[in-house]
Amino acid sequence: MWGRKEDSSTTTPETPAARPASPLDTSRPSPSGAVARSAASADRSARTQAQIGKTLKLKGEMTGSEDVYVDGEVDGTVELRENNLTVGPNGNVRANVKARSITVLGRLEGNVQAGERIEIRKTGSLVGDLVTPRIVIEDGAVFRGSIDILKQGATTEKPAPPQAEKRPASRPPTPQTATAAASVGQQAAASTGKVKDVARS
Amino acid sequence: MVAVSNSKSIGEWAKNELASFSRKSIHSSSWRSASTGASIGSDLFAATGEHNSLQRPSRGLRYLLSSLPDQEHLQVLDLGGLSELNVNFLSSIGCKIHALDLLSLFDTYRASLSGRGLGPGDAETFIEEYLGYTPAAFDAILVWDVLEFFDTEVLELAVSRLGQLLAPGGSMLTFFHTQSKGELVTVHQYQIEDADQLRLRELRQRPLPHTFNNRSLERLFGGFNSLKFFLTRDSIREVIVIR
Repeated sequence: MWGRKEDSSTTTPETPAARPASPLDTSRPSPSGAVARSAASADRSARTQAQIGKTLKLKGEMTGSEDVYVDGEVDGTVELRENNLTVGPNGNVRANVKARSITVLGRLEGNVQAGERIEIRKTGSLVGDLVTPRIVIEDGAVFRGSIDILKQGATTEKPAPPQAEKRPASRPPTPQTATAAASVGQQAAASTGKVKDVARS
Repeated sequence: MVAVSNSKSIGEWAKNELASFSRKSIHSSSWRSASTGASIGSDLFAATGEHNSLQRPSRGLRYLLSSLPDQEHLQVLDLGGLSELNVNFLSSIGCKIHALDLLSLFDTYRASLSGRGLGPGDAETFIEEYLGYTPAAFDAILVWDVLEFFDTEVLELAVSRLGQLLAPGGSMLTFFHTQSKGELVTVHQYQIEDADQLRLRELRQRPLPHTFNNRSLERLFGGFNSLKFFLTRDSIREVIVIR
């Protein structure tokens, strides 16, 4: 069921999302510099990577300490705290995901927490609430939900947003925030009369 | 690609922006080249060097941002789909972003009706499905030009629902083309480059199903507390609607 690849200098050293053979690899280059890239590459070469092929379907809880490439279907939860998840162009993942980095080229539905970053490529579709310090979105990517950008140094251990019971996935902004905003807004509204103003430029 | 760093609180940012807004001379008619920053002062858009990507200033956006409450963790709903620029800008001033491409979702929904058109209850179903957020949940809503392409029934329901979704005193930014019903206009994705500068990504052309003028817009948003119009030279009327 799991096609496992041992990465080495003689085999594919990078994640599937970064492979030149991928139809989406003409995308923007990584923002990190050459030094960072080579460090990341060396880091990856020490990793193993599991692959779920496009004819495979997996239901349940997926945890582990290796990078995972999903080009099939996954239904459940995915927890790869220190590792990367890539949803390939044929991938269809319906799961809450926690990973270091998540790249979406296919479909992902669920709440997503990333320790480093989330990347939605132009063919990618993501429905859910995201918590991440950094996000990369290609024009054309489909998204529905909310995005919480963590400040530098913050941990992704912050509680995940509640799972949406129905669409939109981003449905409940925190009630406390909404209430606080409402109280401020009410004061503003109370001091604002009915105004119709036309400004010409 | 731009790395996100959260730094300023909305209060600090808004204070500076409000001061700047009141001082700044109006330059809505000046289109700036992204590459040189030079003003070309015409009705033409400035090409940014990217395919089908233009820039234009937006006084409405500046006004909306300046009027946001002085607090962090504001909730902003963007109905124009997800844009990295918008996420980066809004998160940099401490906002949490909720995003969906409401017009594409509407097109998909209508297509799913197999050509029979919107029947009884379809508009309600669509609005409930995609705008079913908690009431008063958002401090600001970036509607852009999405509303003007809806059928009348969906349009009225959407305006009513958006009013419910705004927190009291909250604002939404809407755009309406000044052309007449039936004319072809370009649909853009509006991406925030700066507090008063938008990048427009051209998506497609489609005919306008309605003609809007100030009076019809006042009627459409009659249930709101106030309206503020910004007329521009690119045939787009920017309207700030305040609950």
